[in-house]
Amino acid sequence: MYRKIVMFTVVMFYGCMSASAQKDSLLDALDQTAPPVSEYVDATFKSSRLVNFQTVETTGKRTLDFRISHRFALLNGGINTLYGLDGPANLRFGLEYSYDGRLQAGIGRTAYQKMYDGFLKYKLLRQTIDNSMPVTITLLTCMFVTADKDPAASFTGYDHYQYFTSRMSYNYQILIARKFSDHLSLQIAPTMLHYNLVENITDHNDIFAITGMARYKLNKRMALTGEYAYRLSNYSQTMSQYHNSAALALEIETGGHVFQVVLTNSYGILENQTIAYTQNNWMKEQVMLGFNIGRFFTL
Amino acid sequence: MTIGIGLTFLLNSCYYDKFQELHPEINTACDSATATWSGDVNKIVNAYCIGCHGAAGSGGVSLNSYDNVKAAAAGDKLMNALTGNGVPSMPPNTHLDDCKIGSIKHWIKSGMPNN
Repeated sequence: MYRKIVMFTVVMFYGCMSASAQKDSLLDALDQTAPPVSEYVDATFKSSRLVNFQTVETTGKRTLDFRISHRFALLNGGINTLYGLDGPANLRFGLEYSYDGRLQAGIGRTAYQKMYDGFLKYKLLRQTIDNSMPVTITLLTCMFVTADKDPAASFTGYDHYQYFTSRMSYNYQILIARKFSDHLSLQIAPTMLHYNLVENITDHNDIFAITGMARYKLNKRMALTGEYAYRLSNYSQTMSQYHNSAALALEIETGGHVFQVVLTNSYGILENQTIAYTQNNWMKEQVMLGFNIGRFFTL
Repeated sequence: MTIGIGLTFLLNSCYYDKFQELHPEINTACDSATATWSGDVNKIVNAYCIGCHGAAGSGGVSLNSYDNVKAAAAGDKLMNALTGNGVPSMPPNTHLDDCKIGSIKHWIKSGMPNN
């Protein structure tokens, strides 16, 4: 009996030792062959749009983002217009989806200029915690088609939208962002806009700009955000009638929602409306209230 | 394949059109000094304003008749709105070009005739 117990103990111990050694050697092998895995920084921004401009973020895997954006009229209408809430208001509905969390597609419709839009966005590089990749880079291409009628056609006899292609415009951006800390994220984006139709012979169809944005997290639920577009190219003799687009927002995150209260000088919501053709000027107190709501659904 | 079709569509739909080049026959020289109610002002109002400022006018401003436009113009309300002078600029979604604003200004200065 004693011999049996000793043998069992020896076998068990040997077995354990043997298994342990095998495990160690397997782990050693893994350590030697597998490259170190970098963990990616998450939540550089809380949603795919800061205010009007797109962030480097894509929605999560198999996640649908239903977005509603609303802009009221100018605040300087005073109490008579309830500080712009009487309207006329601009509204965009959008649906954005990503299957793998990196490639995202979206569609939307904006009331202003009856504009339909679609975009593709791909998160090319992701910032890592160990800083081996210091920034996140996302490529963005958007297409816009207006369904509006040319208001002047009724009395000039010439329709700006005689050709369907004249309704189309595009936006291309390289979005480069870095999350500097749990509180601060910054983004910069070289931008090219293309309009198939412009008015004057001296106008340029391609417009270059650079956009910048920042997010400062106040606490677990709230953040202050801001964005600005600087127009680089001299695209029209009437360019001085328009102003650089700028916006400030308070972002509030609740379960499954991101809610943004917005102050902006842009009545338009899409890049082809805001970057080159913002008509209002912050310096003249021509700003308007608005809000964005994003609701996420996992499909 | 879908991406390929999409890219083909995108690349083939890129144009560099300019309206003045497409229609060189349009006389772009502005002659607001000959503006009339029926020939210019009424057409501009119908095209750009009446959508919101019809019979039940937005903000209490109705521009659906000669008398209503004349009343708005006489009180400077119309020009202030078109130029954004102290009030939100109208129309809210576009700038009227200088020629159209000049035509309305000339019509007002001429005494707002129903011609």
